Amino acid sequence: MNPIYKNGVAIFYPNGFLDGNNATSILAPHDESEIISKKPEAVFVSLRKILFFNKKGMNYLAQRLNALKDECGAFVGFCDYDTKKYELILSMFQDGINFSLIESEDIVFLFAGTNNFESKSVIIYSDDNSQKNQLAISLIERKLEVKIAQNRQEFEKERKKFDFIVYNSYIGNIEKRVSISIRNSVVIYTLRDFLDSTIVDIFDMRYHKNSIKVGFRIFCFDATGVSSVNIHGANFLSKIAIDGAEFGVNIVICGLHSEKITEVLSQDLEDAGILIYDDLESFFEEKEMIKDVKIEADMSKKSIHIDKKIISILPNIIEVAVHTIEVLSGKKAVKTDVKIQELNIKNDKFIVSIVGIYDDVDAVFMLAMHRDDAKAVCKILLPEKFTDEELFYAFSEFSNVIGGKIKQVLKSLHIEIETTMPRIFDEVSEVQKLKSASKGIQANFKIKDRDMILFLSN
Amino acid sequence: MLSKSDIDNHLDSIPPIPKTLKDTLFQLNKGDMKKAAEIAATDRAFVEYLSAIVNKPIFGFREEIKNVHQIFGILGLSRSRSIVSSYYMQIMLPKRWEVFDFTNREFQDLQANLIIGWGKILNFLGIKDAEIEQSVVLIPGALIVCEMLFADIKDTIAILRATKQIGYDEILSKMSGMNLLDIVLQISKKWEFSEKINLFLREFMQDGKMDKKIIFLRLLVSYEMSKPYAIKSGLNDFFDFPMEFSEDDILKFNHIMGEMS
Repeated sequence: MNPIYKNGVAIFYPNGFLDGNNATSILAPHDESEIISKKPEAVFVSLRKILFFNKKGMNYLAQRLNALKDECGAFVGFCDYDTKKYELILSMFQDGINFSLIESEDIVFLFAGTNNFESKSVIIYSDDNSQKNQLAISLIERKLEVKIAQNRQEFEKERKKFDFIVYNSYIGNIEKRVSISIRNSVVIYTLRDFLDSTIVDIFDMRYHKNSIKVGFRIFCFDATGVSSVNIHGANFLSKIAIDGAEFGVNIVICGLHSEKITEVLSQDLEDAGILIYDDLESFFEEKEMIKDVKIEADMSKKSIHIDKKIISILPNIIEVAVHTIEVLSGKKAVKTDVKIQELNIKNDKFIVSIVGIYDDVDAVFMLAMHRDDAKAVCKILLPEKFTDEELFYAFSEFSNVIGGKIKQVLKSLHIEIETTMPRIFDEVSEVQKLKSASKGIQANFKIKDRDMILFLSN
Repeated sequence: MLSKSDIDNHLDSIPPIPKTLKDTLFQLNKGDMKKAAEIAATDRAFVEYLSAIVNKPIFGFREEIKNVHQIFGILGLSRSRSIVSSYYMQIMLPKRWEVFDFTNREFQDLQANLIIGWGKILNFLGIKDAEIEQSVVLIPGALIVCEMLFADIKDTIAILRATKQIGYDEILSKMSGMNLLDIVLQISKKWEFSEKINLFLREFMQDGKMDKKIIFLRLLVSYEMSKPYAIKSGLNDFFDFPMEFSEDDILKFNHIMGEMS
């Protein structure tokens, strides 16, 4: 069974019965290798649609989830259950639970994944004191404002005042890993424990490189939770900083106090161009610096050239994208012209999504369309009533669908590519500042009387 | 997107019921097993199908049964009717399954398992109703419908489902405004199934109050869709109906189906 990947978290949604006979099909060995290659921060099995489960089935899944935890350091367990199922699981595993139980899928994202819940409030209640603290510590590390309810009455009385409530949850140990979040267009990598040679295995270099492509320019390593840094760890950071310099990338490290790192290593980091701050907040106060980085990227625009490879795959990409748009919107997109030029979007009611393509071909793919057309193509992914934020999210999911199809069609031509998570812009002027927008192939379309633009660049 | 006319075209392409099948069923409904077997025996494809189904392990016969008279004789009237009705689906089957990683042989297994399971449930509930017993064979028709409608856009469907947890029925109704039930009912109408069967299918697939037989039927379908072959085929979440049942229901269900491992 294939899991669904959402913001760095993989979730399986089995239906019906779960027993010793079918558990091996839910999490089959080939699913595992696929998951490991994607390095998710968490892997969960949702029990929402499970009608009946027995210990044999649960045991098998728990075992496989733990194997995944060992392999890629993911936070693993089961989610989405009611009190009855929760109590049943606790009674099945009286000898001890070596996985996590999180009562709902939404709450899993508080503990792992790329979503930013900074400053959201959460109230925690558990009968078990050590659990209460574990849950709280994990969420404080994720920058939530946490209140621990002292007893059931307090919990019941207070719960409505909080953005999130956490109860009926049990946390197995969250392994050392690098979690990723985004704030003010800055990618934050949160590090834990020791920063040593193991960072090479747990750091998702692909994610990093692709984030650079789709327009992120500042990467901040939050080392508040790190206890010490050795030469391998410092070298790793220096290398990332030096590699990124040609793209105008800035590396920042926060929370490295003198007791965690020697002066020599600290000097090495500075020599590599890494900016060192006491903590995250003092870095984010440097608003000018964050702004300047954008301008720097803007000034280095001119050096782009279009290579033959991109031109050769263009027809396939256009065909795939247009077909998907037509299938999902039920509207025809008619091509008007294709030119090599600077990205040219006149309409400010446009939404733009940018997907990075890499491996055999390096390219950036942009899709720009009118908001109303975006609503039409995202209809399947949206609830009946939705906010702007939900529309952007759906548009990003939709761009992911196109990215996936491009990958498939190029594979049939023996071109292997990977795609990045899309970055969505609702301000056209922001997109035009990007280096990738300075020169590329622009294909213009009409959906009825409105424009739609596909733009492909290096 | 799937337009109404796309769907109509697909429905028009479904062949009419062969005369042998219609006449066999007519004789079975009248209770004339001998005449029914004589008519059935004139259609070789039909005889082969009946014998393939009946000789599946779930029916538990030791010796291979080939002769139609024998088949009807062993199965009895009511089960013979179900199996003859399941041939309706056989004539709709695609040459190759593309949306689902499924085979026609697995489809037959699913049909056979549902017929046997449903028979056990009705027996347990003490319900003797030929039409209700027969109606179970139409349920897997929804799979064929989906396969048929989505085959041309299977890549889009696959990637959509990898991106978001979204069921086939939801995709269908957002794309076309029609759901699986609407389409199954249209097929049922085309094949002149009775209003009683249509009503039962509605109860089975729609929200609303559930009586015991609907609860057990939904459990049966969920149970079947939880088997490894269904998970492998991508059918595990195919039927997404609301479930409300007591602990006692599930215990009884497990008892009827035999203990789970």
